[in-house]
Amino acid sequence: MSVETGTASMFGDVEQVSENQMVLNMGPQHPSTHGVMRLLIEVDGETVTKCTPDVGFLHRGVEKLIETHDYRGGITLTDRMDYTAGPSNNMGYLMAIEKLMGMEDEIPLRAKLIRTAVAELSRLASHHIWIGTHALDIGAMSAFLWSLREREKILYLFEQACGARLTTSFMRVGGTGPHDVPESWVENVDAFLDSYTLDELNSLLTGNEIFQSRTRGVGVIPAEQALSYGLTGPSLRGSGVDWDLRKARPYAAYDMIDFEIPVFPEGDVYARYLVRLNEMYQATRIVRQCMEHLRDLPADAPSNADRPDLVPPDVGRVPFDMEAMINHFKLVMHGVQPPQGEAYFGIEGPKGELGYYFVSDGSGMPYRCHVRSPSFVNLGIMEDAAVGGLIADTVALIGSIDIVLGEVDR
Amino acid sequence: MPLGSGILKGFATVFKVGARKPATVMYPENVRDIAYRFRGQVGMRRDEVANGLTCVGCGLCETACPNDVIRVDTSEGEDGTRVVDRYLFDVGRCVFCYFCIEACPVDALQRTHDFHLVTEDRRGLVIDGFKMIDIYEHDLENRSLEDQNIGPGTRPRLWFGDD
Ligand code: SF4
Ligand code: SF4
Repeated sequence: MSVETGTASMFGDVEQVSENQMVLNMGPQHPSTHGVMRLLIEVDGETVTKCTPDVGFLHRGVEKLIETHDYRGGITLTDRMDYTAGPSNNMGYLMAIEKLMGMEDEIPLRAKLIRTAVAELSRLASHHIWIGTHALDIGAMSAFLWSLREREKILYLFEQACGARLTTSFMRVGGTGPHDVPESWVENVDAFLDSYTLDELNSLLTGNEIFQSRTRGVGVIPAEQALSYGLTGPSLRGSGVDWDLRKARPYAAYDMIDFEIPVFPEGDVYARYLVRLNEMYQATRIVRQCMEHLRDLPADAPSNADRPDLVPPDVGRVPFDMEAMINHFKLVMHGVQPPQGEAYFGIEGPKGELGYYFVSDGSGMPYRCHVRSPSFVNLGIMEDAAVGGLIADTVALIGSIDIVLGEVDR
Repeated sequence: MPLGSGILKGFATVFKVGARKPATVMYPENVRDIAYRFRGQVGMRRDEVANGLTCVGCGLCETACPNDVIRVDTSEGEDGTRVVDRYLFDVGRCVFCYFCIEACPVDALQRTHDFHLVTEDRRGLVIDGFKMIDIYEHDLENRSLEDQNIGPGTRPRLWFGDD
């Protein structure tokens, strides 16, 4: 008797309907699955008749781990989910805790602006990874290398702001935490924006006939289907649905910033490409405006909420000041202790709605944490969208819904 | 637009960009710029008076660390003060979040730019406080001093007036 593996039965009984039919395993180490994901594809000749994503290879139990850490320790886990956009994850996590504590209004403007700018920079970095790997899947090598070159500059900005390129652990509950951005950061970001250009990638891909023939009319997701699968982010806006949390429920400093939401109605891979490309142009606009607002702020504008029970005292004072010392010890030992209750907060991450849900029992550790990760939800569309296309179209489709397996499996 | 003009446009860009200097840094020979705030291996400051660990054994770093990297063993000294017997740091578990440095009330733990963490043996990843002092002092020598003060939160904090 042959050994039955668990995943083989996911397929049910494979009925032989034609001679050309066969089952194809794509992954878990296929380069175009962007990580360790396995796609079980049933093909009839070259045409996909059924597609089942098999996820979980990268499961690390992040949600459970967050429940075993205090609220501060959880920050280090969040940027390991969507590692292409660490600061966005940090931000969603912290804003959910702030909502749980009912202190959204107390976040000072400076912290909001820095959060917005950093989130948009991470959107740029994430979209650079996406545009590079997506183009690489389709066969364009230069776009990948140029993307990573530009992304490196963004990561260097993160490093200047907080010390790490990918696993940023940036910001704390109540503001930016003890590390406000350095004084020279605003100029560095401006210098980056001045030298930054998307036109190279644009001229390489957008008008390219080969790229278009690989992406136009491929993997079409109609708007109703996108909505019923719960797609969010660029994958939804590529189907013509104008929904973006930054406009629909403005958070951080997005309500004071002028930007547009690109929407394309075609629903194919090319439309999603255009959405993301235009989003990158918008992201540079947003960052530039944030920098202008930051420069207008007075030099001594606070970057942390005025809450001694949450925000540690100035570290320089600690050895000399008894109250500060006590406060510091109390905060490190007990951390943030939100009141009993529950809260959900979603931000518009680079890949879609990135939501965190917390249940608090009043202690220093979350009683329950759940992450609504956009990659995981968006991946569900593979089952429908891949059917009827060719195997090569499946590759283009995976690229276009922009998944990160660290976030899918958590 | 005639067919193929999009590809030709791409080619033109490729030639234009190809003429530029490459952005690659040939790593072992050259190292890219490292920002001052770069979070490398955690170092420790030498106590100038006792010529030993600055750590007073309060255990805050142990509590703040999300990954149980640090272990501080203390005992009561002759005059009733707390004495640090052993300070252990497991580099293999550290995620370089620097929560420990934020927590340390006496600035014993310090930022370094050291990212050469390779060892031949897993046991070599567990280092003690004196090794951390070496790492910190070696790192200070190789770092220019003026970039130590570039903004709030990163100024060198010296206490007990030894500046
Ligand atoms: S840097 Fe973070 S993980 Fe490493 S010892 Fe300090 S607190 Fe622990
Ligand atoms: S926080 Fe500082 S003083 Fe306290 S045990 Fe850790 S290193 Fe020593």
